[in-house]
Amino acid sequence: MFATSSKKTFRYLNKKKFLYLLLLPGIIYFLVFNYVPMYGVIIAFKDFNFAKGIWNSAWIGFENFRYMFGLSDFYTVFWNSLYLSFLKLVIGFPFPIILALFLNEMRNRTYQKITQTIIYLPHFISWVVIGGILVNFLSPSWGVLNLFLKSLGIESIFFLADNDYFRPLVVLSSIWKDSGWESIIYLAAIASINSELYEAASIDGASRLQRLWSITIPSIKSTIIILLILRLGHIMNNGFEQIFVLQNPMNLGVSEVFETYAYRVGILGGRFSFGATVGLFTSVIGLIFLLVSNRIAKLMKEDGIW
Amino acid sequence: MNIRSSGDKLFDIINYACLTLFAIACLFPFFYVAAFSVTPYNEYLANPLKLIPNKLEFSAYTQIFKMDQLWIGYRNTIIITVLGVCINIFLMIITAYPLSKRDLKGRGFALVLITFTMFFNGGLIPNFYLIKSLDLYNTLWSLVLPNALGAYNLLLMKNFIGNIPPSLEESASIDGANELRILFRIIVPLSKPAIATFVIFHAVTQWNTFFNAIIYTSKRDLWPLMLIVRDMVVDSGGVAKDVMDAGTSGVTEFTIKMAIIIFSTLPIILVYPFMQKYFMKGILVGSIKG
Amino acid sequence: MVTKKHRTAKTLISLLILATALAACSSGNKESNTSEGSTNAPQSTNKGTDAAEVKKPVTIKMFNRVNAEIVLKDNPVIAEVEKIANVKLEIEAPPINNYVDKLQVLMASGDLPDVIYNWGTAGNGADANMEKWAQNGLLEPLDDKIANYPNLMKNITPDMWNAVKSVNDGKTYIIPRTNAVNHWGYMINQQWLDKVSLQAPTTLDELTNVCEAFTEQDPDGNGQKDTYCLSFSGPDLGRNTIWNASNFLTAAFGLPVVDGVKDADGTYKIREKMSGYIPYLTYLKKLNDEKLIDPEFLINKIYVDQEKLNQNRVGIIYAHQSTVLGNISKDPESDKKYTYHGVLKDANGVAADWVTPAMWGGWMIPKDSKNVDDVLAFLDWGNTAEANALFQLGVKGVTFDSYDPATKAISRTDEQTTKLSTLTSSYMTPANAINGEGASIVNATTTERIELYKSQLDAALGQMTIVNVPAVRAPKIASLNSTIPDLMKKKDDNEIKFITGTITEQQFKAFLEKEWYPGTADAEAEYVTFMNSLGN
Repeated sequence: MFATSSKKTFRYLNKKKFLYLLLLPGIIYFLVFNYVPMYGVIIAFKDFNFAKGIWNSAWIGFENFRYMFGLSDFYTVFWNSLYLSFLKLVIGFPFPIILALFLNEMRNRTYQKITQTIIYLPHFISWVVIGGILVNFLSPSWGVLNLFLKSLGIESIFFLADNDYFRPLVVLSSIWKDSGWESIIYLAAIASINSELYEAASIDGASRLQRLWSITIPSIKSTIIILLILRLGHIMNNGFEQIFVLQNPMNLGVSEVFETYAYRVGILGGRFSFGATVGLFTSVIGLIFLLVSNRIAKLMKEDGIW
Repeated sequence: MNIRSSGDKLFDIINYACLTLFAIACLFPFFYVAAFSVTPYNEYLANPLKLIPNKLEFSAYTQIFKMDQLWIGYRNTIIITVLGVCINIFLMIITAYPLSKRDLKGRGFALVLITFTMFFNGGLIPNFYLIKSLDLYNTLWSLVLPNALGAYNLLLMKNFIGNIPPSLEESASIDGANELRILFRIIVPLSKPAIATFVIFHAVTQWNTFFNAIIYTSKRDLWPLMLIVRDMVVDSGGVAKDVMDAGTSGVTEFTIKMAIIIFSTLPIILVYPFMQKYFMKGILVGSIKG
Repeated sequence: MVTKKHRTAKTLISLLILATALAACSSGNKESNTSEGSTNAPQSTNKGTDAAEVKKPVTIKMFNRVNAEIVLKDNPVIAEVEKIANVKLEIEAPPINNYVDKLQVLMASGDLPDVIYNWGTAGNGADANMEKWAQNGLLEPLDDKIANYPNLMKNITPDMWNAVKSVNDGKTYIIPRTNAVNHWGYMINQQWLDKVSLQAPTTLDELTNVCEAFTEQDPDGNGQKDTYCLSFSGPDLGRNTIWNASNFLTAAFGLPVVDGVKDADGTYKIREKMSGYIPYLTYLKKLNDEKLIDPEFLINKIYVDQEKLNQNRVGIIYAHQSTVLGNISKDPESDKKYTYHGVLKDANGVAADWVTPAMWGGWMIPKDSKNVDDVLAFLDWGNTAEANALFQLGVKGVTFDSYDPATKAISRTDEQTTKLSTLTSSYMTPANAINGEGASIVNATTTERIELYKSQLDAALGQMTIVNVPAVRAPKIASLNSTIPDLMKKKDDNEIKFITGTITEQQFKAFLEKEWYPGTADAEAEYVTFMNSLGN
């Protein structure tokens, strides 16, 4: 019995040998570069001692987590991280898709290429610089936007200090900076669509909007879904640099998210391994989101991650 | 016929108008940096949002060109970008292809294994030990190999390959071609848009590499460009740094910062226009016929 | 197991290179290997070997925080240092922004160099990291040795030595890197002052007067009411702006921005209980209500206040004696437009210049290091005027033409200035000041500028009373940011809300009574006991 099953296995392996051979280097890569050092995760449960190293430092169990959950502002930060990320997802996620679809419908190819190149440019300017521009732009006394509002007789708005404006500002500025860049992947998906489908539709007399609805969008649906799932896996991440440049003592109530929190308590406060604790916590939440969304995709008969 | 084309026309007008407006908004930050890299600083002070300088001044660039460390950084960055992209794309293709086979035994396990790496990593110290024990410390390889294959892009690549109609493969396998042949004769040519995308993604990642160089090298001759640029552009120090900065006056000036951003990003920005033709294929056929 | 994988990985990699067939790749790797080998070989054979020199130079591996523009390889300044100090320096220097990341990894790696720089959040190097490393047994206690080094003992004051001792065991694990003594005050737009016919303020009333004039009387003459009197800027999250950049103003309330100073009644209290605390916040509230202060004064990032000054948007920012000349690199007219002044006088007519031990991190030596004495000898030399000048100014003929140590006058060509920025900086110095002063005055390239600097400094010092603030070695008050980060944040937030009028003085005081004082009682008690134990 054992012999036949191993024989079967061997036959299967032999039949698929090229596929397994192709897969092998990648798997080895992940084992070496990701799994070998993964023991470092245990630092979140230890009182790290530099002389003893990670393995020999003393276990402190969930002490770091108890401290983290015990901080009175923990739940505010949790809510801020989740809510901001959710807004970015709902508003920011569809934007590159729409951009790609629109770009795809441009008939003038030169114009299309130029537009496409321009909208990807802001991705290369760091948040530090973008933040500087925004601060100048939004200043209550000297900023162009408020000068404009004043000329209309509207009271000037202190955008960066007003809690109501912080979240819209983050969402809009990240759309501004990165949606052109993010649209590249959708453009690639659209470019991969079999052009015969379009030809058939043209013969059937479908309008451009109809073709968009019935061919383009369904064809890139699986790409959209997988990107959505991956994005949900990062639901607790808001991007340190962006938040850091737009954050200030006056909007801290809404702008403090886990990344800046770990920085403040872990690095400025000198609490070693707090960063690891926060990182592990946000990772677990992210993983749960990913698993659930992947499951939902599967139930809807869509292609998930696996 | 007539109604349809007028509807199309309206669509066109809206489409062009929206994208043009968005493009103008997107041009702003880059143009801002470029403009102030050639504007005398007192003009910036007079109006920090005025984008057309009265006088062009290129002295920031001439000063940058004299910084040896930047040229060393350029050389290293080009090496790790070219090398990194080659290895990354090759590894991605050969790994993503078997993973796209739904009936392959062990596929699910491999995908879980890979997905997990997006969430858990050992942190700086274990990674540092790993690089040392692989003898990669203080080599440019340490800036190439640790990010040679990433779960995120790999899963996307797998998705792209999975979308290729199985019928195309089947006809080849009936002809007796093995998987290797199918991969390189059929899958790779059909995946050009995806490959182009990941070339851009990874080239930009490699170009922007800086943190690994801090941890995995101890010599300044191995530093990539962005490490130096970042250190010069970000002011993150406290009062102590403020005091100290006075000692190295002139080098952290606003104009030099702007010039250095342009100097260090221009080459990588130029990668995209060269890749654009791979995003056009479908559109090309469609528009000619339509 | 790792080695096996290691080999497999390597084989794979080599195969990949063949497959990708890239010539550039192999050359890149080769280059890095050869450079690794060459650093161990002695350099600079053309420097003229000294026949009298019998002792072989000692190799010192140094781990330092140096700005990214500096090229360390074949650096003539380092070569000169090696020649004079008879050492062979192997410097590893991560860039300043991520220095701590690499330092943590280095300390955990077990393979430590001969001397390590620690910057520290408090500026004195004896931070939580140093305590941790000392406690973990990684650092060599230096108490028995330092007395043998005259320059160290002379240049580093007893206050500094005290400031860096471990709070756990009282031993010395770090040698302070001395820094120039900064006399904080403010910098004002002199042209605006002249226009509104007022003098630089020395009291709170005069300041209020100037503030109104700067805001109302259109001092920049552009016909618009678009100027404010003053602004602040904050460098970091978690450090409230009003406590960073406001020495010149808090002095008027007898309220120091640092711990370690007695209140008006002669007793030690935490800042939030000092008599000037509420009045200072109330004054800021008044400035904000009357729109005399830049409305963004609470949100400005570091250097933004200086930019606003240069933009003619505000007239006053915090500064020390070198800021006016230092600002020349940002505004070429700086020395003509702005003047530096000391802090304001308090109600008793005293302008208190609170001076803390002037340090900028320090040097640590690993436990059981074989060449502790060689390193100490090198640092000892580093604390001489000769070494300081060499590190700060570079080599004559390469980075400057002439230098006069007496007047600190220095002349450089443009070419030399550019060279200087890639060869050395203040980050390279083992000690950054000798007897509290640097080797040169920033941007003081002409005699007029040196005169300007000296006259303004003298005037400020003449007006101020120097109060030497001892190092506060009460660990609890120093680590509130990690023990009660939530309450710290809440207090910052309440201060801001009080200033901007979101909450009343009563509500603010209620918060202090109900939450802040109880939450910090431990730290306060420890602090007061420590300060009283110092005597006087």
